[in-house]
Amino acid sequence: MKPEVRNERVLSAILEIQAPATKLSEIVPMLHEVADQVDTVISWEIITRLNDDGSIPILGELEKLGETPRPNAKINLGLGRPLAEE
Amino acid sequence: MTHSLHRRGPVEHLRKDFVLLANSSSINKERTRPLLAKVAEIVFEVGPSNTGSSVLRTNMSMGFDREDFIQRITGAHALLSCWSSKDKLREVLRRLKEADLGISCTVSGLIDEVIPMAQELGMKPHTINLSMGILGKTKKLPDEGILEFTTMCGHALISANLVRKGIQDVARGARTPRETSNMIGKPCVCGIYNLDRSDELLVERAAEG
Repeated sequence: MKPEVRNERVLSAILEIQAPATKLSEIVPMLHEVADQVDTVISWEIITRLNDDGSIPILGELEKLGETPRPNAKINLGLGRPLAEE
Repeated sequence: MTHSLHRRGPVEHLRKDFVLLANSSSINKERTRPLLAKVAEIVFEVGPSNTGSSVLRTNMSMGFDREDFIQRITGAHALLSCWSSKDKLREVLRRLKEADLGISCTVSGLIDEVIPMAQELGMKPHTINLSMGILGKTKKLPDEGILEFTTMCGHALISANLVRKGIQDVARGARTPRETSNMIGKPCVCGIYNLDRSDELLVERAAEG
C-alpha cells in the first residue's frame, strides 16, 4: 500500500482484487478474519463469468467454503459491442 | 463494486424490484453516448418505477421534464432505471435487444428470474456480480426493515432517519405513500430508488405501527 494513503480517514472505500477461482479458498477466510477486526461494515461481492448455459461456475467452491450468495445479483446481458473477444 | 447490488429484503419483495443500467463504456462512448437518448425513449415508453442520472443530478422524484431529460442524457455515461413489474422489465429488454444499440446493459434482480428471462429473449448473459452479504460490525446497521429502503440507493444517500420519518408520516396520514416515497427518493439521483416498492413498504411498515 502506498505510504501516502495510510492512516487516511474516509467515509467509504472500495478494495478490488482480481484472482483465479482456485484462490477463493485462501482469500475468503482472510476476508472474514479482517472483517472481524474492523470497526465498520463491509459489503462484499464476487464477479465471475457465467457458463455458456447461464449457470454460475463457482457456486460449488463457495458452498465448500460455507458461503451462500444472496438470491439477487447484477447480471450483464451481453448486449454491449464490441465484445471483449472481438 | 456496484451500487445496485446489495438490495435487501425477502424474495417476495425482490420479485418486484429490478434495476436496469445501460452503460456507455470507455471503449465505445463516442458511438454509444448519443444512443442513450434512444434508451431513454424506450424506458419512458414502457414506464419505469424510477429513472435518473447522477451526472444530470435528477430523478423522477424531482419531477423532471422527460423531453429535456432525453436530450440531456447523452451528456451522461449511463442511464439507470428501476422496475417493479417483471412484465415491464421483459418488455423493455425486448425493445432494447430489438433496437440493437450495442450498449452494455445489466440487470440487478433475482438470479432465477433475470437469467432465464434474458435467455428467453435470445440474449447470452456472460457475467454475474454476486452479492455475498455484509461482514463486520453489522450491529451498527439499521434493522432489516429500514435497510430494505436504504439499500435501494447503493450510494448510501438515503438516511435511515428519513425513512423512519417517512413511515411515521404515512402512519399518521400526513403524506400519501407516493409523496413520502418521492421525499425519501430525491437524494438518490441515479434514480434507482424503486418508488413502487417504496410505496408498498411504507404502507406495510406504517400498518405495523
